[in-house]
Amino acid sequence: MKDTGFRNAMTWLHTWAGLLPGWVLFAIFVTGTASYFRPEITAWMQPEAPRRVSALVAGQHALAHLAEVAPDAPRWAISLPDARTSELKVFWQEPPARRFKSAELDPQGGAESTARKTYGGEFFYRFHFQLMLPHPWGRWIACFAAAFMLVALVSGVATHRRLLADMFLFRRTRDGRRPWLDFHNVTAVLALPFYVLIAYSALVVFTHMYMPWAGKALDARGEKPAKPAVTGAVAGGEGPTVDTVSVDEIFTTTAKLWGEERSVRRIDVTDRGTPGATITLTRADGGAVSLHAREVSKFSAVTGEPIEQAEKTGPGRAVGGWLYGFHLARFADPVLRTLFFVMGAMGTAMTGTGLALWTLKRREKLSSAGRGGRFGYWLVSRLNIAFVTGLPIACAAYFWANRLVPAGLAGRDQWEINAVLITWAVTALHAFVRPERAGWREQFAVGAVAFGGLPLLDLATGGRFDGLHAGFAAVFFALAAFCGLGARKLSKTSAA
Amino acid sequence: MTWLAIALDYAALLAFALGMEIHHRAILRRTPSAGRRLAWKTAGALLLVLALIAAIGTQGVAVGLVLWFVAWAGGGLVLTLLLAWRPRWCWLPAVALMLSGVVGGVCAAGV
Amino acid sequence: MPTASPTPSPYSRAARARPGYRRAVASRALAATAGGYALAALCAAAVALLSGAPRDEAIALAVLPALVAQIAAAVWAFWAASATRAWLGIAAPAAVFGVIIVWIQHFAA
Repeated sequence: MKDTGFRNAMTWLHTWAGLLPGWVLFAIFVTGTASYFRPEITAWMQPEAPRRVSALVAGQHALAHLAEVAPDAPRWAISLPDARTSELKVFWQEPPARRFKSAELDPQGGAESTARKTYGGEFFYRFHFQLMLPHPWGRWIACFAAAFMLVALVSGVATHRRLLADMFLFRRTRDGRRPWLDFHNVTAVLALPFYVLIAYSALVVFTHMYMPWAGKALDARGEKPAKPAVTGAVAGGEGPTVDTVSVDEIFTTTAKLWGEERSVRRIDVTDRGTPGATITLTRADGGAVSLHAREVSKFSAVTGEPIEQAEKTGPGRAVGGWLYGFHLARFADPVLRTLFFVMGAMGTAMTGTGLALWTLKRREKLSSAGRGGRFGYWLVSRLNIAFVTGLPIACAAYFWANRLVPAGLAGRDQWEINAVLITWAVTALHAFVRPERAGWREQFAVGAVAFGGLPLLDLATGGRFDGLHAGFAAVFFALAAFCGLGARKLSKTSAA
Repeated sequence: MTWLAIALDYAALLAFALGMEIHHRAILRRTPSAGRRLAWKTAGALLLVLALIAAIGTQGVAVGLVLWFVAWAGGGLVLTLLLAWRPRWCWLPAVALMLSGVVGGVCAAGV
Repeated sequence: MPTASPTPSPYSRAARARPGYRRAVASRALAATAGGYALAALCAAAVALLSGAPRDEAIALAVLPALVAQIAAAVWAFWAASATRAWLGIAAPAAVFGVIIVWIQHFAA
């Protein structure tokens, strides 16, 4: 046996670097995996909204709306529908406030959207890196969880004795830790490149918050960038409007040029009313991984002439843009996105089995030694239940609330989120008051019912017979089956 | 063609598994010689190269590279579960993926 | 693996029974987290200054090795034979980066 000291140290490190952020990582994996289908989740949650609408028509409505409600705003931004979403959102700035105001519009009629108010997939996306905590705490915790995950990956690889030889090995022995360890190893090793890239890129995405020191060092050398203040020549009432070009015209021309398949995804109009006014059109993603590879056309809003943008290139931006794009996976077609979803699910399984392994190992120690340390076991095992089954049940509650909270209720979107919080609190309480085995069994059973009922609820409350709803039904049934198997296994075998 | 790349990726993993004694015995019910194991491993490497070519040919270099290594994970998981429960059905996903590729290709050509 | 690494494990049952074990592990944990982050911060600043690239590019470039340094430092902190060596192994490269930063900020044109 070569170098057992190193391996033992790495095993110890893997245990703790994996356990401490384990619950946060599990939650990040669950919500992040769901986030791959962010627009699709929103579509599922707004079955009354139109599907596959024209970006060209929607953009013209949005521009008309902004001209009406915010003629004097220095900045406009429009997020347009594409192949995956029919959401049409307009944003505008009212100085001196830096924050944007926004409205959601009906992409076909142009009026304020009448679809039920919901955060849709945005909830999972935000949860994924903000953890429902006050800014910026969630982001910092998510970043540290990513750093811990990288340490756990490195130490895990160092710990694993037979990385390649056991790549496809799952041994179905009845007792003990073996099947858990095998599954942990298989899910970890098979998607290892994905985990490394996803955790590393998470930190790259948050460079400006997490690692601002390069920028600060450059600033100290006097290379401080000028930060533009929010000004509004028009809003302030000083001077005449100088924009002479119709945004509508430029948008329409470009949208026709790019075609319906990959049309304009975003319109930005900046410095309106000043001689420096610009119109920026961003094309829908496709064909390239890097976020910097987005096709962007920029025009002067005064002359209508295209503005040549200085190529900002370099190895750092190339790698960083690739990592950012990889993390978001917006470039992926449906098949590739499904593969990303599967890897996210494998990451969830890896984290979940990792957490379970800690308790299994500790239980062996406790029963053999019969000494203290029971509080740690109790805490970890109950937190495991509250996260591994409690959080998915809370996510199911989100979808249930989407259909059960009345469409016209004021603040209904917030009530959907309250449903998550309340359900999660109840499952956590349940986890801590019940014996461990009963806690798992009961929560698995609840999960099976909660997920299994969702496709039926969908059909009963406005769901359509199409690929999207069928896909959701398949995932919900799969989760229900998994929970059902768990509950059945736990009730069949005698208590350990 | 995306399906073809995924199918080749899966086939490569299956070939690597056949290059390992424990899985070879489970799938083909006989103990492989060292030469045979090496042959399977070589076939796996070749299939991986073919999968890479198919992935890049379909989606371009940037996205193709991602497709190539992203397909290992899901395919590997399916293979692992089949090896544990139904080792003799291991070849089924490869065929199913190939068929979806052919059907998809015919549909795309027909439309 | 380099043969210089310690054997036996600093986390074995025998090691846990020794006095000062908890303090040593706490010290390593601090080296891994605070020390690792400080090393990464200095690495990012030094690489950005050394690169001479435009601001955006320098920042994007510098974070890449800085993150690797952070993870390596965290792993090293628990690999090293003792807590003291863990700190030394992180402080030494950090000092190098520090010297580079001070040099460029104050002496280079």
